[in-house]
Amino acid sequence: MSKTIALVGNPNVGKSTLFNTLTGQNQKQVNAPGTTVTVAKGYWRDKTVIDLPGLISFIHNSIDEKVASEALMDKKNSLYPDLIILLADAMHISRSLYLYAQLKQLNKPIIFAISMADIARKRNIILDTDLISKTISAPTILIDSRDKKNVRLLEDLIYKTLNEIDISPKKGSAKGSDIEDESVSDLSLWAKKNFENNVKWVGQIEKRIGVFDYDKITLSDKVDKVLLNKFFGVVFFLLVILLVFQLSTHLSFPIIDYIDGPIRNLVNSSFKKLFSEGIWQSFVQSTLIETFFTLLEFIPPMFFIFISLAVLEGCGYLSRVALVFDKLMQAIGLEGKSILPIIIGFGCNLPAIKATRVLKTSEIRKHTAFIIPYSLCSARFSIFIVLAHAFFPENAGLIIFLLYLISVFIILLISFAMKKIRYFYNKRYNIPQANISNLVIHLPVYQMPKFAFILKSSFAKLQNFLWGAGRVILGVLICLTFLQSVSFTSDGVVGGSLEQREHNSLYNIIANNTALIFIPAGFGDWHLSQAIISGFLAKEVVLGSLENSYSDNNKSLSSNLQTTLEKTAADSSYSNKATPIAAFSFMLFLLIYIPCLATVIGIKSEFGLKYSLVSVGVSLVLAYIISVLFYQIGILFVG
Amino acid sequence: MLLSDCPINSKCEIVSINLPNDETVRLCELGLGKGTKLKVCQICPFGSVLVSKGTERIGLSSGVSNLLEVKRV
Repeated sequence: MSKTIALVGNPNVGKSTLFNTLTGQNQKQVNAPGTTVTVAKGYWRDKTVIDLPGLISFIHNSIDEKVASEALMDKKNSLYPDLIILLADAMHISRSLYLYAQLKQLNKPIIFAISMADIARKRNIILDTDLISKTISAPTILIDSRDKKNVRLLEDLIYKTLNEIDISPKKGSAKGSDIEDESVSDLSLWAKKNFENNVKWVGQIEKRIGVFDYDKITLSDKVDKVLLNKFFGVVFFLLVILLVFQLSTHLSFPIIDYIDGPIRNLVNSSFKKLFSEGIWQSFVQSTLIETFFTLLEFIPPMFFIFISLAVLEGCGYLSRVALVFDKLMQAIGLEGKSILPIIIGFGCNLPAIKATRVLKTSEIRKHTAFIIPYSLCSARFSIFIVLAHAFFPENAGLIIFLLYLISVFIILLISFAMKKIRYFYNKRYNIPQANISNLVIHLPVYQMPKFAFILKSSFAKLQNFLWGAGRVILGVLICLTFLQSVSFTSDGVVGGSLEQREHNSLYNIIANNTALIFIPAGFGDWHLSQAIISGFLAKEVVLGSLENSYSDNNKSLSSNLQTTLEKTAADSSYSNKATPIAAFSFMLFLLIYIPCLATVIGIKSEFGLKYSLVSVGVSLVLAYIISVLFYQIGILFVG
Repeated sequence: MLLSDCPINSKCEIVSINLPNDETVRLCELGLGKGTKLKVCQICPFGSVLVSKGTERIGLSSGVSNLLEVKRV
């Protein structure tokens, strides 16, 4: 049977970097047994490598720590390892020694790998690995996780240790000299009882190995004086975000234009030549090609956002962001770093969902991902510009600004509500509340990110997304094509000409009937309900759908929309003054209900089907309630 | 005095931690127990404090720095 190696360590010691270097692209995200906490699983040669969530102690303080400690303690757990690599940061070695004091009670072979060796060298900090190894009775190695050559030394040590287990299972086990050496069945209880002893033991070991008192002002400290300045820290963060947006849009827009223009036309015309007009051409064109281009258009912005985030994380700035915004985000139940995906969400929701990976605990990741779809993304912005000019030509700018404020308000409101729900849920089921480790952040030293490594990990993330999302988008588009292609005439006959089929399609029948639901919200018209259904795929489609539905007359879209809402108001016996109320109600619905299929799939792939369905359900109900309330209260004043 | 009141570049020692027991344990696990010597490196926006402890640079949110009593050394 293949041996399992677990990478264990405190948060931010470089476990994921080492994991990526060891496994390359040969990895996937799996859910820890019985939870939604994701654990990275990969393969190094014929061995399975598990990157466990960050662990400070077996006295677990979050669901992620619980998952990590259970995986290490429970032999029946699918993640249970044969070998533990305990990764320690050369700058913060004491915390890892504390974890080691607990880990060695497992009687498992442990390799003590000290990362950030390059930084320690630059600061003239000499770590005597032989002395550490002898003192703690575990093989010890200094590594730079980002350097493949350097990691080879670790690979040799892994082989040697695994061979020792094969020859003599007891020989590879870690043994301590100062703490009783029995195997402990519940390490959490043991850790609580022996907390003070373990702290003392770490103090003794520190004295023996000479953990350094380093009081020099480093370059990192000087950079922090600027980036974390009390007055300019936030300004600097906003400039960084602006730079990320500018880079990702300026670099990706020309590529998207090229994909959407010449390449799309070329592919479409080639397929038209290959297939004669009919259901097959319709299937290939509206399903396969649409899926292909929907995914293709997401690639450039997602890729540049992934790279930007990896650079910010790699250089050490993201941890500082967490510190700066901690107080602000704590108020709504989040942690400092959550500000980053939320802001990215105002550009595009999908990369923002993926960006929640920078958050360390699954609880906070899920919470952040839940509120991201309410941010007014650039796709919604493009619809609102047209709709605001159509309905409120005098005050279009003000309306868009108002929608931005509403978007921020809804995010704060939902987040605050979730904080309260989480508090009562955790209290009821005895789950630890937000823990202190979120409030105490060990800051890594600033360092130059390795671009080859960043490119490789960004490509891997993109590949995962394309494979995961592509299949689901294709499936949904096949269903939609089916609904659009199958039509029933009044006498129940299936078929007819292409135009008849489109007109009597199941899709149109569903859209027409859905319009009835929206009567209380003031926009109960089939043109608008069809646009809302199309908007489920992508918000950019809404305008196309509206234009398409009015294609049988020569009026402008603005005048068609005005006429539609006036007619809807008249049908409900309201005056024309109700039209702007209905228009804003329609815009509110577009703002609040799910952003697009790709985002929903993004949530599904990160947090599971159940969570994505809850997210969709809540957004639909909330959008409906708010738009109905707004319209009904509004017409009391003008109707 | 509280850690949040310490000026930049001052050195201090933790004398008491006014947190519930579980959180005090976690703080000690993170290397911030009674008697730990720190240097205040930076006061960040919204009140977070950046301290140094040997080679470590530790960020403490205002919620924590307001509950750590220290004495200047």
